[in-house]
Amino acid sequence: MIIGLLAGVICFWMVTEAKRRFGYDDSLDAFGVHGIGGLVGCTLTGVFATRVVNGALNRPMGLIDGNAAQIGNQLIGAAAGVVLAVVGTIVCLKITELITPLRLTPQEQFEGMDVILHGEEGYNPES
Amino acid sequence: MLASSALVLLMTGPGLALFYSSLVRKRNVLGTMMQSFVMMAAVSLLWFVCGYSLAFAEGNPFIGDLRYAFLRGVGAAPNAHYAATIPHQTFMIYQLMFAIITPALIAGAFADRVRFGAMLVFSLLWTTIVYFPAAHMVWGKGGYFNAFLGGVIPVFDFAGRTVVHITSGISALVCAFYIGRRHGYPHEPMPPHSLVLSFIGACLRWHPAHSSLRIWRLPPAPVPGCSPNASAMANPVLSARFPDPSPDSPPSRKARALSNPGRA
Repeated sequence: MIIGLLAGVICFWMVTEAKRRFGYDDSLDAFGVHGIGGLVGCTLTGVFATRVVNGALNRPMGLIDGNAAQIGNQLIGAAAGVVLAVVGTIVCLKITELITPLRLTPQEQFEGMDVILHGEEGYNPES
Repeated sequence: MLASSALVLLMTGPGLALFYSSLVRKRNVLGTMMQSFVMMAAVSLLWFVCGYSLAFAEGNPFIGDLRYAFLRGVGAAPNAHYAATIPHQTFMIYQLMFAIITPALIAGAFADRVRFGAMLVFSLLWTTIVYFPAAHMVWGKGGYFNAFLGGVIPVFDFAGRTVVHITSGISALVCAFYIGRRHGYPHEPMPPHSLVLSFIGACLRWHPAHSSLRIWRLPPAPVPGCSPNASAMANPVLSARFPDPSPDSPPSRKARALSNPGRA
């Protein structure tokens, strides 16, 4: 519950304040919600993981079990995820660009991708 | 387990498809739905060909080998490392659902401005280059960060925080920067076109999250060394909820009606 409260507040700040301040256009807040929520949750799992809930390892799990070092492990895991995602995504975008153009032109964006790419509209005002 | 897999698939289509498409402008609703929908087809094929093997076969600590390519050897017999009491195939299907939704989540970052073909190529590349290694490292046997199956640095991944949310969220940010803003952003207002559809989409994502998390949170099975998600799946409590009809107990009227649809 504490993880949920913290993640909720921090993610809300990310999608309202931080997005505007840093000027990136994450249209539907995939980063603010999943990226930040994932990082907060992953780190706090190092605090709140306990063998009372999952006894499979049969040893202290997180900080509340007395294993403070787990927070470090969680941070290393999260950092590895971040590095893999950043490098991998840039590589994927570069390869994709070699095969096909990424962006719709401003004119195509104005007309909308339903008409441009799929040849029909979601809502037909005449029917 | 299969019922739970079906619920998780419901998170992508129609859940995510409705949620994302409702938040864009009316002119992009079909294209955005299609970006989620196509992941169900494309990632499934990739998963059967090599994805499951790269993520869950034993290989090195960073990526699996190809022993399960084309699902060779993934049959009705359980895989004791991951889930000792359900067919290996069922475990494979359950994991597929997360491989589908993760690249679909990224599409939220570049909604409204990326071509369909480019999105498809990018997502298949991304699933191969980022998702499969990440899943192997955290969930695969011998993975570098697997806390339960012989990892070097034990990392607890509760409900996919690392594999699903950190990878997709960070990749979303990289995409948003790399691809650039929508034409007109932030000067033109770009309001969501249907909050009613967002509500349906959000609910369709909420329900499976509850049910799949309930499975995750079941107490572990008596199999030593199982990962938390796998041990929960292998849990006798789960199977106890759906008992086999015993030959001693008389079948209920409803069950009789189901077995004899002609007479019902």
